[in-house]
Amino acid sequence: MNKKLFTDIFLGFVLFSIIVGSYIYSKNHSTYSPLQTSYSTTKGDKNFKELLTTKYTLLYFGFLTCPEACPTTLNKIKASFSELSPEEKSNFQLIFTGLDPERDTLLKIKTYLEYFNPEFVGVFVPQTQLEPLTANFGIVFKKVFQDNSNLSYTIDHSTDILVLDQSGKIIQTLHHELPKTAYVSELKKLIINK
Amino acid sequence: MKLFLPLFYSFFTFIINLNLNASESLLITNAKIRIVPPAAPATALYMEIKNQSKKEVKIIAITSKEFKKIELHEMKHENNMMTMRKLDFITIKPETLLELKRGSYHGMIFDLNSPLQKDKKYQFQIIDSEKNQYSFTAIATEFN
Repeated sequence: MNKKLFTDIFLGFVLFSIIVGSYIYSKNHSTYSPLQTSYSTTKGDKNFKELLTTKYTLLYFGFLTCPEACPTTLNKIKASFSELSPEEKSNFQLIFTGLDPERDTLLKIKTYLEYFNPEFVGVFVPQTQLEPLTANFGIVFKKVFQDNSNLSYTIDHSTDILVLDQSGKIIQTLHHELPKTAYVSELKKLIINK
Repeated sequence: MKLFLPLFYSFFTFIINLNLNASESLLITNAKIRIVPPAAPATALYMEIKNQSKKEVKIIAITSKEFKKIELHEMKHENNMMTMRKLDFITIKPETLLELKRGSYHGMIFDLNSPLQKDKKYQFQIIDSEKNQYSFTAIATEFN
């Protein structure tokens, strides 16, 4: 009798631990998937999986008040695309994801991107979703408040361009300091190695 | 005669430096404003500044009648991260060239209410810590 009671209690405890442990695990490990979450984009409300329509996507994170890194990068990508033949270029698209939802509306992002290339895609991400989205792609950003500045805050951010395949997997990284010729070379290699 | 010419040259140079007034201490060249896309609320002002004097010069402000808000900023690109910070001043050592350029110092121009016109010239002044003013012209330029 005692043995049976002990066994029942033990099994009950194990079952209870599994249930509690699973609950705690699921709370700590979000099932958030950037590919499944819908965002406001210049192509309508879409998730990333729906946006990855071409073979390769160049994904860049930036903000419109950035006077240097962002316009320089977008110019370089624009120039790199212009070095490709129409057939080569059809393999790629550029997605720009805003890091400053407080100041950069989707309309402003759209207007900004059209200056470089009307085919560039813009994504507006609400503040609450920025952290998990950027973390998922290994992108770092930080809002830094500045005293006595017209720019009440700036955003420190990663400058890498991520190259994704259609499944959303990062297959290449283009660094900011590389020249346009290096970008073109890497893009052409991707086409050859497909 | 052998000594006269070197002595005369030294004296002449000394007099010239004494007479180098504040407005000539800084020589500002190659000034450009970066043309940015519509919806971009700010842009950068770049230039080369030569401190021709034998004194350190501390730049504390850049002003313009055409742009109400201009600040001194510094950009840094380290470990694949770009950062930007406002500066209260930029110091130029004696007889040294300082570049305000990409990835480094620049003048940050705010409140761009209308697009910059390519090749248009805009007037600016640099002010130093001794309240000297140095006027210069910057050309709106596309950076590719």
